Amino acid sequence: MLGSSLKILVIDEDPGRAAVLEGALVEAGYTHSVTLRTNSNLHQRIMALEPDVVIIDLQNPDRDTLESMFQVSRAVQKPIAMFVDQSDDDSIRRAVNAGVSAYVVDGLKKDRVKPVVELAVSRFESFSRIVRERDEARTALAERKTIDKAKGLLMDRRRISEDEAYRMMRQTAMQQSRRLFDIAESIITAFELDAQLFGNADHG
Amino acid sequence: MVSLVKPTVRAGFVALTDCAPLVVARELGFDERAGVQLEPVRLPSWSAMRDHVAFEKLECAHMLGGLSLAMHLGLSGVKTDMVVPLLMGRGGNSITISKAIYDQSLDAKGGTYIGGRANSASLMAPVVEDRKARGLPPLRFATVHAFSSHNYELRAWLAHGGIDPDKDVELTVVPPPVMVNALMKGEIDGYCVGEPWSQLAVEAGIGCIVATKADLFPQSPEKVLAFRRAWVSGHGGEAAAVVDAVAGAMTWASVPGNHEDLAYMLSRSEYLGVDQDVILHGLMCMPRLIPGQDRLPIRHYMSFDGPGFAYPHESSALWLLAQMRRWGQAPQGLEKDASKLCDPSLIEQNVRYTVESKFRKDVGPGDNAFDGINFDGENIEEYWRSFPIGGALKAS
Repeated sequence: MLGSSLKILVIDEDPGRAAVLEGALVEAGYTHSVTLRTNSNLHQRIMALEPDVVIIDLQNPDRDTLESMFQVSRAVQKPIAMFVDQSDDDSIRRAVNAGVSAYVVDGLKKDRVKPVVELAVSRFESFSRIVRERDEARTALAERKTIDKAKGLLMDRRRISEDEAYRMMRQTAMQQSRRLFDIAESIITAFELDAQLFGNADHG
Repeated sequence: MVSLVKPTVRAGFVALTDCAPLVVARELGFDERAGVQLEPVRLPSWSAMRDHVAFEKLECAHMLGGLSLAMHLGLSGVKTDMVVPLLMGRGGNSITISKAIYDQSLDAKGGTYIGGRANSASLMAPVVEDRKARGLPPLRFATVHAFSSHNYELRAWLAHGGIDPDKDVELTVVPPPVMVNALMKGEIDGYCVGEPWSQLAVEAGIGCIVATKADLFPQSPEKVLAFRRAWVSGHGGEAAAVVDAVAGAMTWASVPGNHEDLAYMLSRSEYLGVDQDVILHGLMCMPRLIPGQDRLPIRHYMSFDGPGFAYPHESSALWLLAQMRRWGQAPQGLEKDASKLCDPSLIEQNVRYTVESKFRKDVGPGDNAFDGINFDGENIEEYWRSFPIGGALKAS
């Protein structure tokens, strides 16, 4: 396979994302890929590995160390930032948005490297989508719990049915053009304040 | 009718005390009074900052003066036309060495050391020599970026003490927020970084401050407010508003009575996430230099005020270019392009600024330099070639 002889170094602090990318690289035939998570002995590892391509999270603090290493070290062939030697503005923009930066040994043919970077970009993109969806799911779950709690408080204190409690909250939300979750939070705060000020006595 | 929705301007910053003008502009509403809404975006390193600015994820940034020039000249990352309408902070950098190396240096000098901080590298020279003689690896020092004032300060300080930064020690780069950690783990023996990351090492008992920027190049450029020129061309009014907000915030931040509030503001986790007293000691120009010793007043240790420092002189960029030439980072003949980086037009169009001391025009970036070598923006080649150490490209 064309890409299989390329030596690729992936540096990523996120073990989940690193595993996803590593798997994808191997699957695509890049069997000479190595993944590092920390900066320990970065210099020695790079000297030993002599990578053709380095893929690193744009926000990784090790990137500055890496860049300075490429600038001063004669021990490694000088890789340069992918961005510097790229006329394909759209793909760079996509890489930056995905948080991918790549360093490539000078002189390496662009068409050999492009699929590697594209692979990294697509895996970074799908990984952050998964994380976002997971966070959204967590938020949604937390919001539903809050709404249920507010409903329960209303049912208990006002001695009304679940349907009535829900309708009351919904109507308030619509009148004030606020989210149901915000109304639920206000109800809980109000009841907690009430309990603090007047004790738990039922004066409903 | 005036629109109630102010345009949002994304402004990058790195967690450092001198990002204060952006934070103050946002937190105290200098931005909205000027007609924009700043959105401070924290970035973990200067290379990330460079790329976020270059690829239009930010409109402006708290930036190393040298990095904005390197972007402008195409020496770091993608060549991007930049413009610097004002310099944002003064001083703030210190050279810290590990407690172990400091103690060894004192021992080598027989336990006493007499001499100013500007000459303190000569204190360390015997340690460097001794390691060489015994075949030990050279001392490792870090700065925050290749194109940082920190790099130029550390190199000039070493060279002044007879230590060649390219031959006698090893230099690397570590982003400011992880610098103290690198010293603690023994990955480096010393560094040059901005506050609060110098005070933090001293308070942790692991580092000693042996020189400060105020001892070396007190008038030289530090952080700047940097824009992509293409954005300014299309958003002149908004850029002027950002300058107005930042200049106002700098004035507020330079009032000693505001320093406690400022330290508290910066200490919050979304900005620096560092103890407010550690930040405050730097802001007050009363740093502790050696663990366990009293804090010392150091004139111009760091500030957002001071005669002329904020004015965007052509010669500020030329001073930085001269340092790049001295240390082999830039080819010859870039003076003309470099002199376009600093653009005073936004300052000049606001009459209020002409009475402000920080925008005085009669102070130059090379004034009061510790090495006593006169800086002349008209002839930077002669300037840097007059140093005995430096000049990787001297032969060329």
